[in-house]
Amino acid sequence: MDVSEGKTVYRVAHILLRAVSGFRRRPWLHFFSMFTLAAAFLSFTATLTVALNLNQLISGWIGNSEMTVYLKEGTSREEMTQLQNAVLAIDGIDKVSVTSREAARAQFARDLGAYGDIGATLPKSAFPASLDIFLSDALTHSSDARHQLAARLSKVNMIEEVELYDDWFERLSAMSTMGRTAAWGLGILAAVVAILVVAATVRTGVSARRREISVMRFVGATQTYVRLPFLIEGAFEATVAMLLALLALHYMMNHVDSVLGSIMPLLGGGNIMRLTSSIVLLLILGGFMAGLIGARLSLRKLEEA
Amino acid sequence: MKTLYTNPSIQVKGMADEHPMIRLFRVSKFYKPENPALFDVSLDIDQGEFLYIAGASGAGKSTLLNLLHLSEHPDTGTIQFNGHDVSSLKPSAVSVLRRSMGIIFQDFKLIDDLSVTANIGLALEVIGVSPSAIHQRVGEVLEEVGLAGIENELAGCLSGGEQQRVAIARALAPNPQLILADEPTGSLDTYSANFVLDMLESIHQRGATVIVATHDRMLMAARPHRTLALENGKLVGFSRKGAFRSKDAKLNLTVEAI
Repeated sequence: MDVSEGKTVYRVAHILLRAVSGFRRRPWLHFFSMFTLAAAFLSFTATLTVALNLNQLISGWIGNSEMTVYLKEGTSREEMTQLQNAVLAIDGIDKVSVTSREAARAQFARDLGAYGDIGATLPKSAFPASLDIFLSDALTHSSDARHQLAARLSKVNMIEEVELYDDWFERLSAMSTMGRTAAWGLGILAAVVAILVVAATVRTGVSARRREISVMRFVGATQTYVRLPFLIEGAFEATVAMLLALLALHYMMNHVDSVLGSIMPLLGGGNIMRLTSSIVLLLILGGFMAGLIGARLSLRKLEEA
Repeated sequence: MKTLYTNPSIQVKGMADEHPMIRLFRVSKFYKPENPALFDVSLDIDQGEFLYIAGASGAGKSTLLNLLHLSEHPDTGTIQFNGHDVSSLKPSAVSVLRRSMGIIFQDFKLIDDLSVTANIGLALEVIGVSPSAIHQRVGEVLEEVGLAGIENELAGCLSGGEQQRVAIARALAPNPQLILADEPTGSLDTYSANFVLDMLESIHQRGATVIVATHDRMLMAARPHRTLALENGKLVGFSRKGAFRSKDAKLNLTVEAI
């Protein structure tokens, strides 16, 4: 039988079979390794989801009204319209919307949904007419300019109070930054954990198969042929762990949705946000890369041998 | 002429007439500077030859085989296959060249927890033979070494003689043109040793070049072939085919030429 001419497709098939045999020979080791990785990835993806929702909530709060002017009681509709036009003419203001007392009360009832009746029990003064002023980007990002504008507006007779939301803005920004930092930190930690766990698992496999590897080299296996099954093992393990983490996150979010889904709109954040498909794809790619790097690291010794 | 080395980057299509299959020129290998494992060895080996490398333990037999198998590189001198220097080949090219060789060890180097098929199949996997062809070829070589029907046994469960035969089957599987055997009968009883030697003879009869490192004078006497004598890493002589006597008392071999 002529066996002198081999085919690349069969070489690839043998490499894949070797990777599979690595799992079959040490199923428990791979199971625990995958479980550890999935836990690390889940903590990261969950924090990322929290950070994204926090960001959305904060954007919602900040974006709803960047400056609110409350008008004195007795301000007529004509005066409101005049004031609206006057404010809109100021440089750096994109939009001004008028909210009458009645509209404010109706909005309150809508926001509270099933609890909207509470609005009926509150006094008239709880719902003053107001102007919501939307600032241009330049003005939004300049605290001084916003304060100058507020000081200018507060001198107008019919204006009771100017609300800048500065404290809120700063606190929410700090929270948003904290959420993002935590997500990044956990992301880096999860990647490090993934690399170390995969490296340890693959190293165990390499040690157990040291004799086999040496025989393979004797019979003409290239470095790539020896290394590839281990790289596939590592990358596959981390990718599956990431998929498991995303699946667990999906079910967690279903539960969170059922508990908090009706509260989020009350907080001004809209629906609970989930990871977008592009983020999910990036995470899967990240898991794959972490596995590949971990396996590659564990093979350094093999190359030196 | 069959091709020993098929790396396209070197373009060796076959053994050129003016070149021996293997040529060692002034090859030395030092593990310790003061004590060479191999010193200034020059040697030609022709296609289809059966060659013994004789010598006591530590004479440099295994070092010479390792150099021929390219598991080690010479510190000085050159090794040529079909006229091409292989001392400085890239690792991938070395791997490709090794696929033309079958190697047999005294300690068999089988993987105990793998089946006989998996052990023999290793040599076929790396050259990209299909799984079905591997099964077929494993059956063929096992029959050749008299072990038909043990495909699924674990290598670790076989006797020493059977393990060596499986190792020979592994070496034979890819139809190599060069067989290197390092003390192949060293740990076998007489019956198994004779069987292994018969196998090596049979491989040689089919045209393969066979190089056997051994210290067993009985073996060399029973199946005489050209013999190379090493002592303390130095080539102290070689014989043509036939009786081999030395001026050296320890080896009891006659050096015909150096």
